[in-house]
Amino acid sequence: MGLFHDTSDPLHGVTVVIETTGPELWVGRCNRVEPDRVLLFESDCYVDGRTSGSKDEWLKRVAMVGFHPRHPRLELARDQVTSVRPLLDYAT
Amino acid sequence: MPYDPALVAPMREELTRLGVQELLTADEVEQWFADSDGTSLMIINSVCGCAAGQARPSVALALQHAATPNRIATVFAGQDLEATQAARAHFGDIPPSSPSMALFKDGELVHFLPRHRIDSQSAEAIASDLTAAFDRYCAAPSGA
Repeated sequence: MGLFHDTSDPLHGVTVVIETTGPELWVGRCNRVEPDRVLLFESDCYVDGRTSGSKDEWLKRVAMVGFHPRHPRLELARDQVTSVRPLLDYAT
Repeated sequence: MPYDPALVAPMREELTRLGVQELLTADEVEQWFADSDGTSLMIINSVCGCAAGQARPSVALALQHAATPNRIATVFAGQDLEATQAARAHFGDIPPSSPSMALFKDGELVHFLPRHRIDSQSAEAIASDLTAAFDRYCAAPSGA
């Protein structure tokens, strides 16, 4: 029983980590991965050189307790995305 | 914006029929937390079928385990806003997520299951995570 949505994307609703070609690492709830874009709801971002602490430390904490949803909706161009993986994969 | 109460009612009942106490106001939440003796599980319910659709059945499975918390309550994120905010205020610096579950022992948060450890998991896997925490924190000391 629940509210289901208009996509059969296997990552739909899953909290994912998105590595990019730039300094940003995104974590958020995946809505869909399309040929030209990735759509996230409720995401947060680590920016290399701007966010305090190392990327590994930031990701370790996020994998443990979650993240603050600072960005309600985000579209990333697919050619900027190098990987999309469930955040659960980063939990130890 | 909260969903139609008629749509949400079955999602509430999926927990309340298990004996989970539903807290609808901030005052009810504070009264529930005021009794901090023993072990308590707070469930942040959600309409999201992607995650909560597995979370609620996982609670049903976990409550069949030998060791369970003394008290279990739930608030509904996106529906009972003040109650949810009041509950999350007891989670320290843990970011908000829903669904999620927080286990307390004698008033101290000892185990937290955020959304991302629910949303890609089966009900059985989530229940396994919960029961491992129940064994650790809720089981009677051996020899008792």
